[in-house]
Amino acid sequence: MRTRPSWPALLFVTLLSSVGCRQARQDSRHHVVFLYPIEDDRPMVEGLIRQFGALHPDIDLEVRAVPGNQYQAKIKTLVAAGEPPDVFVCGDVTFPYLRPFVADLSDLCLRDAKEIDFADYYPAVSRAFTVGRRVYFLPQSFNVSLLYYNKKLFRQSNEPLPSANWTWADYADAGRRLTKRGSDGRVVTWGSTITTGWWGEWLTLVHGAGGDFFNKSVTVCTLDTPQALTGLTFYRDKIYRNGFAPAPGEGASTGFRSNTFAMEFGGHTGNWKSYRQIPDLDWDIEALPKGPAGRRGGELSLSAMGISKKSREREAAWQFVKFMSGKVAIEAFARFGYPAVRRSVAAMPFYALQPPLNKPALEVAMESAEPDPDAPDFMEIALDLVQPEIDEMLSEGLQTQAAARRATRSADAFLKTQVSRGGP
Amino acid sequence: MIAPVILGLAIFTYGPMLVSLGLSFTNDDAVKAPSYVGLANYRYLLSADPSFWISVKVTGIYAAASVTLGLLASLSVALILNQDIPFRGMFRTLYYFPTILPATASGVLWAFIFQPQDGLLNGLLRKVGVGHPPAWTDSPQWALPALVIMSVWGFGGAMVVFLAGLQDAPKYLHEAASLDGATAWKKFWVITWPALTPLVFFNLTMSLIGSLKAFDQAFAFGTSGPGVGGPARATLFYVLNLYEKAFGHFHMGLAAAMAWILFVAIAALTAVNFAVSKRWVKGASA
Repeated sequence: MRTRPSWPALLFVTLLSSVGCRQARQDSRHHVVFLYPIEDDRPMVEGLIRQFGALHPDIDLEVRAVPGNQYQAKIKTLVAAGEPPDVFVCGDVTFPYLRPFVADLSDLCLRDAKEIDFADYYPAVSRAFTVGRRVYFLPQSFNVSLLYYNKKLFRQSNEPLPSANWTWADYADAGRRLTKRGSDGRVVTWGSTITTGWWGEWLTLVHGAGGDFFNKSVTVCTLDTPQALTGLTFYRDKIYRNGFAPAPGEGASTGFRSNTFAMEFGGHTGNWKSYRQIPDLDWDIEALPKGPAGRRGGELSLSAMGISKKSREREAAWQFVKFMSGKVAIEAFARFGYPAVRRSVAAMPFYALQPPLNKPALEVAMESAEPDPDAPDFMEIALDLVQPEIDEMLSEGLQTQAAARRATRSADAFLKTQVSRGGP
Repeated sequence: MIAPVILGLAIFTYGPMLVSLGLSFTNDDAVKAPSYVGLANYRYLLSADPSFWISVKVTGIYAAASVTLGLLASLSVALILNQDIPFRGMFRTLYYFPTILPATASGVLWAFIFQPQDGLLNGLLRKVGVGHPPAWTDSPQWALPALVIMSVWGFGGAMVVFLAGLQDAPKYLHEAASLDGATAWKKFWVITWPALTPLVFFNLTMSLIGSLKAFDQAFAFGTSGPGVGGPARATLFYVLNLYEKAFGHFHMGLAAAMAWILFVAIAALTAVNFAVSKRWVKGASA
């Protein structure tokens, strides 16, 4: 007699076995998802992940790699879908937006304080990852605004190299002297680059002049105050009055790498890797010159890892985050070309020998750096509302006051609406 | 037979449309639980958002320029390639070829061509003695014209439609007109043009809708150079602005409201287009 299959029974058995398999996996290994922004450091990071895997065979680390420029959209989409990864990269200007989804790691930090060795981090780095006495992420590297200079071009002009005591006036004077024109009147060497397209330079100068982007409660934009205007005017004058920086679209597209710029104001530490690969680029760094308010005004942001509040594998995820901020990992990051967040790694001989050689300038810059505004909408306001006016000021020669007034009006209109997510 | 189609449309098209309509009345931002805000998103967009009207203006200028130039280019080339000229097939293929390239790929290619310092175009302009060529991608004045030029490059699709229409045009009318001594212009205006008006109307409608929804060229252009939206928002197309609001800053309610405003605007423009067509399109019912 032929027996007919019992479909409900078959379905039940299938479901049971799949649940059983899942249960078995959960019992034996901890599954942690890490959302990784693909950069040129991928082989180094993969090497660290293999080391972590050897140390923690009970943790199954799934790396989901996303192109670096799509990382923020991806993480926000996953968060919005209610499926955030266990571990993700944060710690910079995106943190205020992501804060509602990032787990507070303070208790774990306290528990493992000895192993982490918090005193080994640079004080400025420790301050940056301590948010209102809570810790939400641990760092791998950092970025701080610096003044880069081309030693060859300084030597050719018999110019003294920049120093930590420089003011804006010293910078502008040197910039004018270092700007050289060819026989046809066209500039062949510029005194300095000018950072366009984002807030990196103009906000630094606003800070340096004693101004700020917002009031403390982030309810009003303050880019039209006299101090802020001083900073923005200096920025515009680099092109239109002092003539030592090119207008957008002029100058070599490769910027400081081209050997045609004597200085780069506010350059990223992320540039180190590429500068080191250009054999005839003889460069070093100095802390940014001080503005009229005595502030250098640069920013410090971390590349760090945090854990999702929703993670069901908090302990396993913590082991990974802790490993990636430990001495072994930080040494790997520093050897790859990132600045070291740990003093013990910075004291290693290899670190001092890698350009830039003026490492003390890095510490001066870190200590004087200022945090970005603690507002979830900071990037949106800076890039979408203020930047277009700044672009017009640089490209079309729009007067500083007009640009600042329009930018402030747009930002204030935004802050007053229900669209704004408010301040800290 | 049509039940699966209706089901698919309901689930994957009309369902999400209705959801987005509902979202447009909320402050959904993926952070906090969305709450009903009435018409606040529409009010903000129409009266307070500094980027909304700029993106409308940018898109309007782009649509007017790219549709006009695109139609002129496609019709002119179709008329030439309808003649008995050597290598006609090869030229038809070459002109159609850009149409099959993904817009993102051509966006990256054109970003290289228009790159101000080391780009192909400015390199050529300097060689022919233009001392200060436009800064194209970095210039608020030239970034949008650069995108219009790029859009005209893809006229091949409309050209094929015009070619098909030209080959359908009755030859005996041209022969009769020639015997009567009509000039080439007269023959075009009296015989060819009326026969082509339904196709001009088709191409006009499709390219107008396409240009109002333009996104990928500007996105690729911006991310290859000066940033999304170009310098001073010069290439901030409407849909690019919408995308930034949705996936750059996660203002889902605002983005949904923008999508519905665009939907209504396109529907209205198309209706006007149809109404006006009765006056100039041969065969359109009055």
